[in-house]
Amino acid sequence: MNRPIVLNDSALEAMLARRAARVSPDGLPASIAQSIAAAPKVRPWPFGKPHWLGFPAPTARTLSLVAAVALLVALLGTAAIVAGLFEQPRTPGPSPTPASIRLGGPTGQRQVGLVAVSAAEAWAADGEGVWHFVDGRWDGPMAPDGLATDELTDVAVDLGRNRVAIAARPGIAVLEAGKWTWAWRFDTEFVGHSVAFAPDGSLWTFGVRDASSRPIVRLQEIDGVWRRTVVDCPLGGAFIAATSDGAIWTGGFAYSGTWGLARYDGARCTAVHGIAATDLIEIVDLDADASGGLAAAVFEPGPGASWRESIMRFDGSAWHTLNVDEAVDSWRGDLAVTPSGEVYLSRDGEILRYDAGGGAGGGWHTVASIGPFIGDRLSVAPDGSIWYSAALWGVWRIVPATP
Amino acid sequence: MDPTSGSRSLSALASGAGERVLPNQRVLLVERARGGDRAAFEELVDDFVERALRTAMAILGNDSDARDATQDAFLAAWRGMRGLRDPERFDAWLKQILVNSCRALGRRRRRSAVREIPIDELRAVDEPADDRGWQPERGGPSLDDIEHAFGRLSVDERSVLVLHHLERHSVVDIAAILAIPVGTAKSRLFNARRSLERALEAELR
Repeated sequence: MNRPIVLNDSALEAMLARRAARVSPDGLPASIAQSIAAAPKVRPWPFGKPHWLGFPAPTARTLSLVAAVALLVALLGTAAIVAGLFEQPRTPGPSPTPASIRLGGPTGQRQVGLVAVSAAEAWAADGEGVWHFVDGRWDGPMAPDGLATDELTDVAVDLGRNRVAIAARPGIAVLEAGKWTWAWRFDTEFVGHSVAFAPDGSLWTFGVRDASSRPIVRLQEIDGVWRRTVVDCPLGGAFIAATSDGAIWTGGFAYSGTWGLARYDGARCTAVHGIAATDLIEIVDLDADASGGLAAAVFEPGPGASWRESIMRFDGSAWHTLNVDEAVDSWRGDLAVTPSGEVYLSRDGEILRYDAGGGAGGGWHTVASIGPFIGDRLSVAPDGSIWYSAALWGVWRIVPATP
Repeated sequence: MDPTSGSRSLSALASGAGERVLPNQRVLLVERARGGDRAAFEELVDDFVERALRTAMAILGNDSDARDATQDAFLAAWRGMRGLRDPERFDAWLKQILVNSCRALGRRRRRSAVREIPIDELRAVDEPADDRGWQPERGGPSLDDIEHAFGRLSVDERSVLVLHHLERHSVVDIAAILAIPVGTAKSRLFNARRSLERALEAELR
């Protein structure tokens, strides 16, 4: 059996240095100077070029070409309409499963997170900020002062305390009673990738120390001040999840620094072994559920030289591999677990559920198809209602089809 | 993403750029070039050309393509100088243009089935110029194996790996250079690395 290749950084860097060194700039500056001298004159803007135009002013030749193409398109379009080649436009967008309801909300290019509270309430976040759906309408986007567009990386909700936390490039901020507070302002360049509330109300994220240590960080509000406690973990650093037993889990992949999964039990943070046949796994998503379980999306070595993508579920005492098939072969979506332990995943607008009884070892079945979309987010509320969001399309409440 | 939002890291980028011109002088040169001073721009070319060429070479893998992409990038930079709002961002801005030139060249190359390979380039494969003292593991892939696998990747994948592993840019800097969200940069880097490993597995099969 071929062993999967895990490329080490020094080999890649040596190859790139060797490759880059095979060229010499001899004569190039002169050649560039010549081409600049020969470049056509740029037509000046009559009243100065608008600053928001990030491209050079067009030359006379470009303007003529654009005018010619526009004229041609207009002529062809008119001819096509006269000839009846165009059908009546159909209803835009895909047709959702009848019982699923599109609720609008954030329609940003990047769906940052979705937290379902109940069948009637949810929080969602896109690059613009946090949105709240309650009483049948959306309120948002909400963001703390100083947060620029697209700096949000994650959102978490403490349902018991009615608090919302965001991880963002400048730090971790908490929204409570309509007021934002920065619980931690990062003093170095740092990308907060994930944030989670533990059952005791503490807020967890992680820091970066060095290649072999991924500290997780607890933020606790004491007398109105957010205080930090740092816990060293051997692994992780990309995703964080808190299970209802109080354990904190962190997982990572190659570019988060360290691979694999670690668990903090309140006293020590240790690597979790034995999830897969090898410890050489990468965690690409983590999701805790109300029953104390955890689901992880994992890359692991597969047969031969391949890698495969699996969903692993921890039910509170043991790990189970949910049957791997083509349903999860191309992992691009999100993962959510119901309070009763049902695992759902979304993939480009399709929602799949793992049915343990479906044949040998169970299998994944499509329970709603509303795509094709990208940038899926999926969340299950404590009452079992399923919410879904997609880039540019907003949020749906999903009613899964009966198998 | 607002490309100006990463000003702190981008300033750091600019300060680490060319070797012959001090950062303050460079800002003045950029200001003069924005005003249409060709001599000032040619000084910037002298300052940045070697590094830009090496980056293009690492992405594209052959001398003539790398020289074409670098020349295209400087020409595009000259024509677009007025669009550069922050002179301190010149290095990152130029790198963005360079990566786009490499992508455009890659697309053109895909369309032409045959290309000339200079004899010097063929010879160079057998003559490692700089391996930083790297020694392969016993039975592990050689630098040639890795380079052949690297050649199987798309220009986008190669670009992101070059920015990170050759140019030593952080994911945040890469996001700023490529004008994409940080999360996207991270996932592109991750996927490119994964593609390279898969290509290497195919190469060694």
